[in-house]
Amino acid sequence: MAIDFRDKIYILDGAMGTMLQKAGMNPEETTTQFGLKHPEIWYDIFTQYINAGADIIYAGTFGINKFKADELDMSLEEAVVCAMNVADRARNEASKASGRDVKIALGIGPLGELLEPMGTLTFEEAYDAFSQIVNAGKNCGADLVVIETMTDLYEVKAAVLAVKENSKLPVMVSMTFEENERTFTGVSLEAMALTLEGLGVDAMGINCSLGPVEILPMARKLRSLTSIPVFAKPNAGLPDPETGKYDISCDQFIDTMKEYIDCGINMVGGCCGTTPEYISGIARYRDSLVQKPQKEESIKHGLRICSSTDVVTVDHVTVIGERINPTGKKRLKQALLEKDFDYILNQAIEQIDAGAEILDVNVGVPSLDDVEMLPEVIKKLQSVTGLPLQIDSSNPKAIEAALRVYNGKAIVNSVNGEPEVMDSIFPIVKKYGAAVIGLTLDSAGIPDKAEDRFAIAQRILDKALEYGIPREDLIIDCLTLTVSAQQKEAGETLKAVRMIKDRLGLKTALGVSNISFGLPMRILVNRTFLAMAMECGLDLPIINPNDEDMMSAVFAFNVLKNVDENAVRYIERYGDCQPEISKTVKKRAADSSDTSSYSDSDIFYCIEKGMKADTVAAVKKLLENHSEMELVNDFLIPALDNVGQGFEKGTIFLPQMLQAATAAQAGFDIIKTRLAESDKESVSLGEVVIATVKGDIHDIGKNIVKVIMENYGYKMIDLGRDVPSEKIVETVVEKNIKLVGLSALMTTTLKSMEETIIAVKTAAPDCRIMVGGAVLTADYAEKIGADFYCKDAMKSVEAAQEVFG
Amino acid sequence: MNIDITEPISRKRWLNALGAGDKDDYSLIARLDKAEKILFESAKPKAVYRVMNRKDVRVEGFSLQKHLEGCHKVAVMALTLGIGVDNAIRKMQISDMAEAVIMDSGASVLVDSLCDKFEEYIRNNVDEYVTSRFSPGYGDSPLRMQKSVISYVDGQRKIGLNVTSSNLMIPRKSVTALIGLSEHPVTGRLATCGECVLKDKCTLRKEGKFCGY
Repeated sequence: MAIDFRDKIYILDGAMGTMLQKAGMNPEETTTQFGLKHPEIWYDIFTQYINAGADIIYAGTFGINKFKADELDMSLEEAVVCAMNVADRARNEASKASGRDVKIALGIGPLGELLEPMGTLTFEEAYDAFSQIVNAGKNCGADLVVIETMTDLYEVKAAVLAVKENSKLPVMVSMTFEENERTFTGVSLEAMALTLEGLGVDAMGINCSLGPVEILPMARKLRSLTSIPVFAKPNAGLPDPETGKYDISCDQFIDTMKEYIDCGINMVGGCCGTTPEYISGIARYRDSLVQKPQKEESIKHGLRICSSTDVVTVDHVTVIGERINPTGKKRLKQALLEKDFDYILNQAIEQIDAGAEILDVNVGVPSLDDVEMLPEVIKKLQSVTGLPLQIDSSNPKAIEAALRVYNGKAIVNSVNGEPEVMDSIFPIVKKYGAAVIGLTLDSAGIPDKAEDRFAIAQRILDKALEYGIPREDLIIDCLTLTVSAQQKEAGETLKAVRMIKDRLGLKTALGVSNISFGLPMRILVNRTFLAMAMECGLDLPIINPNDEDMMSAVFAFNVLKNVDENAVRYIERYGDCQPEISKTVKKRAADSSDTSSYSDSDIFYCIEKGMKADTVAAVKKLLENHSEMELVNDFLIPALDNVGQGFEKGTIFLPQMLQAATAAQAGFDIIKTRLAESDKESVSLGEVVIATVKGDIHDIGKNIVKVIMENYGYKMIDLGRDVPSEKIVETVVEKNIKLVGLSALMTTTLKSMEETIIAVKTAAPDCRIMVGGAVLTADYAEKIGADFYCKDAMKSVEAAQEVFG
Repeated sequence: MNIDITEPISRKRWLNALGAGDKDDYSLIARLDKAEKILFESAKPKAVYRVMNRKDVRVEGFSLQKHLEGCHKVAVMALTLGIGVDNAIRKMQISDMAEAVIMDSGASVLVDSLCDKFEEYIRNNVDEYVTSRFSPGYGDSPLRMQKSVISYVDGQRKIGLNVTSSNLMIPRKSVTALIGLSEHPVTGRLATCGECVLKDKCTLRKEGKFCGY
């Protein structure tokens, strides 16, 4: 059923909504409702478009999905079949008359519910919703599927996977862009091109929102960004905000569309405001062409990685942050086991602020199921950062689960020269269109000699190409060994990097810091090795970006290699800095002065004023003479109490209280890290489940309560927003929870709060419930069965103190 | 259409929204500056309106009916700061909750002041007399109106404004409203406390205040 869209110039159809309005659709009706009610009008419009020259028509299934099911007075499946049948009938009749081959596309539009993290729909739910449409429509004469008018790349990915996994139909995707060349959700043309080409769609394009004049430069750009066919369906110009009329004529539209065809955009049609007249004009031009226009050469871009918003082109030394990896980091390991995502996300944000361009993500803790955990962490990370991610695991199942939910083009770390490993991981890399790191080792271990490592790299490359993975998407890691144990091999690693670079032209990665294990002043060895490796052609050092000594070497190198033009990035970073001569000596001096300056500082003052760094220093100092628990009970909590009292009295306001809490939190984190490292029990005065109830998506108030309560030593299990009562009950029962906090911000969701309280009380009668939110009152809280009404975050601490003593 | 941000966020309204009153706290003022910078970088305000016949607009609730009394047309408007603001606030909640709360309330003040500006723009573009704006969920008008109001202006496609199944708008910092148009001078009418869905729960009312101007 494959279609080669490269074989000719395809004319697509024009607007459906515009035509239905002309046929008498009223403002209260959707196009789906009107079309299903008047199939003969649909039929007539399709016939007009086919007669105008359209080679592909979009069936009227665009607005049908389970979230819009209440628009229908039949089942979703029946509606899809009905819409497809009309298009099929029109195609058959018209083709019979004209002898032309006309194709029908099953049209898929946005679900109307936003996916996480913007909305609350999960990726998996979106996938299921799209699968339902594909399964309903694939056997009703569809030649292909078109996914159009999309603004969220994540939603597109769910739809593409649904098409590919439930049918063999070719798939075209078009997204809607604004003048700034981004969609409403921030997707760039380049991120779209990279991700969709990786997923193996058959054509990609732009539709709706703007006119042909505005879209043309974007369409050209898209043409240069991908090697697959590109299509465009612009609106009939820009609408007048007062009258809704479009600002260009049919002739102007057609004239501009000619330019699309001339520059190799070989599939063209129209969106809102266009009619069969517009389409026949484009078709006439196509027919007048003696020879097919030459496609503009798509430029080779080398290795590029992306999220839905940010693209990283690896044409300079690009730092991969290594911090999200629990190996040797007990605090992170603990955070992973406790699902303390805030800690993990903070690790990410720190690395981003330090200048990492890609983040490595490894959740390898022996007792943890990485098939479940890796995608969960990926989802959390992409909710707060647009930095591209590197999925670090050796478990093919975990890699696939993570790649599936990743929004963009990721790197997989890693495969090696073992055939079984490549055979299990390369198909996944290919399916999801990722880049991949190959380690130069196999069952015999890491070869000593550079030549042998090179041979493994060559083998990995051959295999990758066999699987259809583009050459530029393969990265080789020649492996750093510890110089104190294998001194000769450091040189071999570097030599191998150079060979890979020179002879295979592949990008290279290296984890750098292993080199210095067991030596004093490791940074000196690390930094020197990094500089040597970069000179040999290292592109992607995997390092700790918080280590400025390493980062500075990278920034300086990019200047010296004439990559950072005019030293712009270097100056931006170091323009205001002073040199520190003889840093090792100076650091020791600074350490002692730190001690003296903080010995007098008052932790109470630091917390009240929200001084984060000073609080950390004060905590470290106090820990010399106090146990962790003493510090919590005698200093941190009393300090927070002072702030809380000020808040009650109205002398301290919410932002100041939160600022104080943030400072205290930094102090707590020092304690948690110390406890984790010494394998002691972490501080917890009690476990509390907290959630915003079903139907409500306000979560800032809930998060405030979470932060404050955490500071008082409670372990908070945050179930998020829009949480069904079943999930709350399940958690309460499973973990034997004694206190639940529920938040609702709207009168309409108080009902859902009441239902949740009843469900929890039924399943766990001795679990107490505290509630809060702008529309609640003490009376109402009591009426719906809550045990505590908390008008602010301090009140929730009091409630917890009552419950846990 | 894109809406330009031409003025700083009113510090007075912002501090009020934070409940910080008129207290002079230099570190707080500095935090507002930082929050404003991030908000201005992440906001891409867009708005759309459409003039419709009164009879084509489904009006629910007594207070809105009263508001539109004597109007033969209605300007339906929608304005959003864009999803970038939601993303920035979400991210800030991870590293600095205090700053996130400040951004959240600053964004609310900003969206409100941009609505004032857009309302003014509409007023200048129509020939009729106009009422003030009235948003779904206010008084006794049910929030479920949100869905049809957004579809009237094709909000999802025109400005990227979505509505969840529980009638909440995403991006979060968005406003929809109805403005009555009439051949004769009209003022519209604010809902009374008696009509309001919040009448038993309103904190302002308990303090003896009224949400109207």
